[in-house]
Amino acid sequence: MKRIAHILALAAGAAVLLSCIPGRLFAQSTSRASQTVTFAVIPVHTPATALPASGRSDKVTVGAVGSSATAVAATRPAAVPPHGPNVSGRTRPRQKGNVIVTVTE
Amino acid sequence: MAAPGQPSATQRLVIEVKPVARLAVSADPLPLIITGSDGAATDASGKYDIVTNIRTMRITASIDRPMPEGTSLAIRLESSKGLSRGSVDISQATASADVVTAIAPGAEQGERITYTFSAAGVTSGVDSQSRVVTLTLTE
Repeated sequence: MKRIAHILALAAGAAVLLSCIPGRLFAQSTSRASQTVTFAVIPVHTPATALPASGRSDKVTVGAVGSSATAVAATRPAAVPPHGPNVSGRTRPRQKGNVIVTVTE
Repeated sequence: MAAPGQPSATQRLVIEVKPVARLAVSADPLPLIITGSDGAATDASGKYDIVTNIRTMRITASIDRPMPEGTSLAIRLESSKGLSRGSVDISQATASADVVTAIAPGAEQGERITYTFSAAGVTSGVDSQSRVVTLTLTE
């Protein structure tokens, strides 16, 4: 009986303590919610374009990786300089004046 | 109980309104896919609801990891009871960034969430990835 009385006294004490905790502790002043965002970039190989060349310093505009274009050059041009960190261009003269530009990685 | 013979009795009422803040969002947005020459992809299918009785609340946004180099992610929340900060870049927002401020007490339902994914600085493809965007309604 003494043990039961002791347990009941402890329970009563705990109830008193809980009732003294400020109500704000049980209130909610912050709320969170999440969404998952999925994304990707899909490369598309578009045709390159080439400007008519007239000398070694002519500029050639290239497109995405895998694309190519043909330009008419008055003289055989030098190699096309790199275009960006992962893309480079090269020329492949077939005959005087014709230049095929291909973009490779 | 009033004592017999007494015309009136009094009781003391203790009243309290606890602070309430509830935020809920709809399902995840559709995948943001950039193809070809498109520089950005947008999704505005998301919605959110809030209920609060606290003055001057705000909503912040954060992501679990920074976006890949050369890409960006922006979020815009419309609001009828607060001040939308417009399209907010959260690409590096592992710490929270305000997206709606000065929210008045009350409820908002079905307010639009718009995500914009940009990849202007990417020269090649980016494999499909995900980021968790957390919105927080707070004081």
